[in-house]
Amino acid sequence: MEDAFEQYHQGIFGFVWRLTRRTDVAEDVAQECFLALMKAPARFDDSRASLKTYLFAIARNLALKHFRDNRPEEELDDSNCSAPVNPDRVDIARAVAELPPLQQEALLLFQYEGFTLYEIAAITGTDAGAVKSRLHRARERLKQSLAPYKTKGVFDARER
Amino acid sequence: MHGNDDRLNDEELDQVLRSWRAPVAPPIVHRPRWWYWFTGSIRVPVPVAVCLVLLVVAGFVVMGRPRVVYREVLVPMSSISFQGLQPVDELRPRIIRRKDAEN
Repeated sequence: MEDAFEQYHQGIFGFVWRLTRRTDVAEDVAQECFLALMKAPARFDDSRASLKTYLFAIARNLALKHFRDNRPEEELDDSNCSAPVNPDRVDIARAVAELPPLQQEALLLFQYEGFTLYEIAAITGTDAGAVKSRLHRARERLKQSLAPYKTKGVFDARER
Repeated sequence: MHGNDDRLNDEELDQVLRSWRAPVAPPIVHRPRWWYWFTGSIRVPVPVAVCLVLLVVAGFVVMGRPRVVYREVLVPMSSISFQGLQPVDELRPRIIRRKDAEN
């Protein structure tokens, strides 16, 4: 249990933080994931999915519950971000937040947590084809919305 | 809108996305059990909440009304005197019927 916590706590926190942009929510969800595992360890069936997939599926459900309960009142509020303010990062966050939720989660799980299409399908309860399609659409949309990075000369500056 | 030349390619998109880092997760604080009594919340259905509010209001109304206090006046036996009490010479019971009472 402690190993699992050490291994996945930061990942789950980061995933929920990128989804909700709320440090407090990410903290609560990360805690609740491990509490759920502690309360009902028998629910985890290692023949069906890995522990990481199982924990991220719980995190995803809790994050969706948060969206259902609070989304209408919540705006994308950069002041909730505890990370140092970085204009580039805020732009990326906004661009990702503008994606439809299913595309967002597919992108975040693939891009930042390193899940395969099949693992994302298991987490989100869909098939790998749908995940691939969501991921493709998300990336196409981001290529467009984050295009100003190209004109800002960000890549030239980093290459130097 | 940006033209196709202005769009990021896959490599550039990966590079941009990599620069978005999540903050470090704060360490889990093990709080004492009593803490949750102060910070916890419960969901109450609206009809139940309305009934509770009405009960509380009714309670205040009842408690706020002036109360009539009946006091029993106890007269000490030593202060009662039967000296002036005379026996009745002749009992003359008189029956008053309803029609008589009306007259």
